[in-house]
Amino acid sequence: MVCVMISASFLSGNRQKVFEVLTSSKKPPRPAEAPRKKGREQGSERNPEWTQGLRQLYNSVVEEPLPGNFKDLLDKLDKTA
Amino acid sequence: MGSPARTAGEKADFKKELTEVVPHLRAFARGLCGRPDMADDLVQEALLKAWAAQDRFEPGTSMRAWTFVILRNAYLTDMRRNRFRGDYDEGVAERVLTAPAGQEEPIHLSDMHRALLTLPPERREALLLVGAGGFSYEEAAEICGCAIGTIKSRVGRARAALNTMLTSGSIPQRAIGDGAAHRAILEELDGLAAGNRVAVNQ
Repeated sequence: MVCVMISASFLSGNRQKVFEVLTSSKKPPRPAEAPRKKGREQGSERNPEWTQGLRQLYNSVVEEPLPGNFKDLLDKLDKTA
Repeated sequence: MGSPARTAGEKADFKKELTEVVPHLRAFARGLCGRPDMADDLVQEALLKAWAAQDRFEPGTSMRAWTFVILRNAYLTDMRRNRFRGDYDEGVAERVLTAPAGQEEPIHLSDMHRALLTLPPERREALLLVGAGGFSYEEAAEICGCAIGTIKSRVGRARAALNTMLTSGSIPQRAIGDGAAHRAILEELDGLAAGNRVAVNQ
């Protein structure tokens, strides 16, 4: 993965964790005190947070540098046509 | 076939458009079959088929949708030949997707990937097309050769299943070694393939 950004997010007190976040989010790292509960409860049924993960999963592959063999294959096909 | 001979310009356009959708084909294939190496093999196979069938591509229509149909058919064929087993890609293991408050463990991208791979294939592909690839229900229905209502229902069921797995943190391991489970998967695939003969079958 080329574009993996590591953002350290320090939650209050003992819940200190480091999260790796996919960069496809252009959003700045979450504010430490952000009330994440709210978004989660609001969107729980219709638009749970993981739905953007599907996009991330897809986009993370789309954004990977293309292995050269694909271009080679197409060039070869082009020449033999 | 039967279409007027393509001009050199049209051929160049085809190659350009085909090249542009390769990253999308890789992403779709990765979602379908899990392992990156197998997914890329599948993409190569689809590219060869798309190239061979290029006279059937209508310029101006969606290259991504057209090639997805080809990729999907190649996937179904290979699945029935037992080439893909929905193996889990360990490369996505450590990325955190969301870190829900009030839950000890954050949801990782790998959890989503693994959960996705436990879905029945027709629901998985429907969710991939709509939820990840951004296709409309109409486009997804066309790609899968089924009714819009069917796609909506598959996406709905897939979402519900993922939601349950991801929020409860209970993602079952797919019983690949289990003969009965494997047979059931193959039967589903036969059903899927039978419902979709619109596309390019090389």
